[in-house]
Amino acid sequence: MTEQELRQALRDHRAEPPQGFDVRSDMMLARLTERGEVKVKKVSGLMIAMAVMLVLTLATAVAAGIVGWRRGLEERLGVTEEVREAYGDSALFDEPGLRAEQDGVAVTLDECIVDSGVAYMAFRVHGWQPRLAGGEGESRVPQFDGLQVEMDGMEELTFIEGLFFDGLDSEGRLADGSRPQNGDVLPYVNEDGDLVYIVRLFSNQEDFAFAGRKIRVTLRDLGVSSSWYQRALVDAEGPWVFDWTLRGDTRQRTLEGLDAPLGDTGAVLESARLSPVSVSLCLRGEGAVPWFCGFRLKDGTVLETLAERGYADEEAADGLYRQKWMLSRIVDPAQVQSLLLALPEEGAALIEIELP
Amino acid sequence: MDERTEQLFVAAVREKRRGLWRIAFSILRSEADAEDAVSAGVERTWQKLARIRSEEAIPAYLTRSVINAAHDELRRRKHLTPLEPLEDVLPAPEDGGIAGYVSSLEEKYRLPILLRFDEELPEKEIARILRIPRGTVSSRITRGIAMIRSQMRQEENDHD
Repeated sequence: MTEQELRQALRDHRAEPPQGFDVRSDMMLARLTERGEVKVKKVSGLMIAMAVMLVLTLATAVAAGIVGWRRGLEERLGVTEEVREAYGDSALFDEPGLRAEQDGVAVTLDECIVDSGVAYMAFRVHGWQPRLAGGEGESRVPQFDGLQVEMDGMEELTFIEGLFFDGLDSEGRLADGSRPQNGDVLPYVNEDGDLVYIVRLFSNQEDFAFAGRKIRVTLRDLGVSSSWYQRALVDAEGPWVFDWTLRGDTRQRTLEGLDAPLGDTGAVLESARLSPVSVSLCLRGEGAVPWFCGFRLKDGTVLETLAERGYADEEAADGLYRQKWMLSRIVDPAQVQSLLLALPEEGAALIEIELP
Repeated sequence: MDERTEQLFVAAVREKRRGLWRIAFSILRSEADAEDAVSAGVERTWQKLARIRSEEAIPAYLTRSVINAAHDELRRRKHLTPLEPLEDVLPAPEDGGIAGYVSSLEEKYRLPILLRFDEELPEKEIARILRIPRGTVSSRITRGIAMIRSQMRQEENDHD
């Protein structure tokens, strides 16, 4: 046996970590760095939470991205009757209606909203009252201490997040229009006594689609996390397990050969793909290139802060920078008149690119 | 802690994590326990990041921490009576293959061989990780390979 044969044999019989290992590792890194997200140099990219730049410094803010969600996917993502009609024959919306009950707590998978980059899942939790009142200076948030997602093609996922909805709208306001004060207990519990847990999945891969993939979501250890205690205070262990096949709208508005200069940045927008809750861009340039911010719609509405979380190349591959972003609300791609971009620096001016 | 150090730490974890898992798995023979050991090792390294003298030492520190975490788990197991079989504990590779022989070696020979030939680390780095002299690394690798060859010859003789 030569050393080369030994080396080859070890490679041929390499044990590999179980599915989801990389994603769980990223989640752990995110917790360690205490910003709810990790600046990752993966190949040549940065995983960024745009909301960090707009962060609200609430004592109970758990992670950038969930602050500002209205109660329920429908309210928060701005699902109007027009949107439902526009997507009536698509698989964008799905109501799996799956239910699991453990330890006296019933969890129902109420609704999914899925396009080619993002999958949102709303789980309604019934029969549990979180212990949110802590000591002076202590902050508590409800959580499932164990969230496990297993999906066909798990390695293509870039981001997994699960957080309870905190009752704030996209501007950080309560239902009565007021803003919560530091130390306030946020309205996680609905008027009917239920809570809504929202799971988000995101892939920055090109030509990725959630539709048709089998998925299992396992929720465990329902309780609260506290700023005073290392471990969560668990009331119900579960598990609550959900198995189904994802649907999803794979249609996109694709715009190629744009060759649109981006102000005086020296960068050029080459192409864009618009989906209902995500957008992909391809830019050419040297050095810093602008990031996607939002849309101007055909009816004149300007949505400047649509980019909630995303992925952006730090280094060009073949001279091209790719970006993919989750949107903070549903937008019908056919209604988009212009893209809004800006350099990722404070005070940068918006650059508007009208689409053909 | 400065942002550069933090970014180097994150990059090192992402680059090394699968190899770290394999090392932990070679000690613990359990997928889940190996993952826990990696998590514990990464967390310990993070906590001591400010005290690590040079950024180049981060990968070695990570590996050392994961090995320590795996050993902690081994010690913990000795005090437990399992109530149920560990479903995700995989059996050792079948005897007869080179990988199987490596797997059956004592840890003091198995780990240096894995770090040298599977993770492609130089002996100097292995010495730093295992906290043994470089000469000891070299001799354990040599001895481990000799044992594997001896077992292979033994198997050939048994077949004749």
